[in-house]
Amino acid sequence: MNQAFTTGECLSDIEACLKIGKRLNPHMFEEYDDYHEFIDHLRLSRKMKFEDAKKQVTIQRDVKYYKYETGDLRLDGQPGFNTPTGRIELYSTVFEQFGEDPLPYYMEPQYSPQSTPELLEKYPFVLTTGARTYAFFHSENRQVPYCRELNPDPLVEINPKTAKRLGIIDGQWCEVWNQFGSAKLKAKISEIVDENTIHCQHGWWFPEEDGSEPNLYGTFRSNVNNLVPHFHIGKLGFGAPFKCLLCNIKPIDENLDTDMNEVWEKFKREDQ
Amino acid sequence: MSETYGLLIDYEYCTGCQSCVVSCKEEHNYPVGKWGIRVYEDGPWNIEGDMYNFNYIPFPTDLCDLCADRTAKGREPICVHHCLANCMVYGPVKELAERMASKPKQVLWVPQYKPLEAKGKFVSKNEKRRSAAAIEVKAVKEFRTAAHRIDNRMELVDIKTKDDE
Repeated sequence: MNQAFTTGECLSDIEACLKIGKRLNPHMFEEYDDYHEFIDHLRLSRKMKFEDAKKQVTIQRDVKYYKYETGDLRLDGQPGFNTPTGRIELYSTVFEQFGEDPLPYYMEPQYSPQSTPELLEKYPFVLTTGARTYAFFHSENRQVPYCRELNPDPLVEINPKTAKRLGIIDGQWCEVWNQFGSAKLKAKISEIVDENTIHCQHGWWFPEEDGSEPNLYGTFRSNVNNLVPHFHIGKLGFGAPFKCLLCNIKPIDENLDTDMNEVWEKFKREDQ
Repeated sequence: MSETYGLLIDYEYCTGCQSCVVSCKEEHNYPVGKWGIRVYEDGPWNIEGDMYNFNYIPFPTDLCDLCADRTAKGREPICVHHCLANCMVYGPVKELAERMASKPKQVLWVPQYKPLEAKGKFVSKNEKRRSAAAIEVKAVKEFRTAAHRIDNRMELVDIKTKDDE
């Protein structure tokens, strides 16, 4: 598809989707002879060809304003918003039909300084997880040396004042834990987080390590999901408390730094 | 002398996405631990009140050849080609300098590929230099030391030679 994706027998997401789709539901993929047509339709709405888009690398689409006045928001082409009433619905008639609360509401997290002050002594910090990095998408790309090199180790972001108080220095390995489990991550000291908040990267595993039991590519060593309980969900049954838990953190005297040369030797392309 | 080329980077709009870093490594086939361009993250650090300094500044390394192979064919360097924020421009320094005057928060780089090689063998420009004369000297069996250059603590140290053993 392009040079960045080309490694061994790997397929891009689009190519893989098309191949699997053609086998499982051939009738739905009849109109696409190859992935070019698929991506032209799926990603470029047939307004452009992928081969042309590829040459430009970045494309800024024209932005239209006041679409509710011109009818560009609705399937019937009439002015208004794309809701049953045609208005901005602060009161959702669709949620109401489903028997759900039609109004926005706030729920204090199940574990928080407000709802469980008794836990604060053991777990004084708010744990948030899952900020996006440029190098990875969830658990993807840990085995791509150039991506991994941008962020070789699982990071925990901590405010400079908190780090100083706990004796944590930048780049030191730490253990983050709560009542559900623990994970080992490397400290990145930054004012980007509040003094009372700890942010952990998510989706970590180590493809360069042994994949057989019990190590399983080190999946559970630095996995912040160890600290996230199952089925503690909101009213509409969606999600998990990835961003609203309590935790504690302490420095440890292990050095778990990734050896990038090992990753390179194992996962570089055949021609490198 | 041929025209000097450089990279003009508008770091007001660099998002720190590292596309330049990765595309450069792909283009030049640099292994882990070697880069043609990197992105420096400066901040966030507090200026005052709610104001923070937080800039991403891409800078070419000593392995940046401004994509000589690509530019010879009339193409842009791979980092410029792949910059998602469209904040990099390649061109003659004269033109870039003019562009630079148009707005603040820009930086103009003129990298040099492998500077030690590029500069060639060292040739001294000092005309007054002279070679040491070849004079006869005699060997002795001790040398004088002065701790911290204090003359009254001067000592003589014996040197054992192979003959003494």
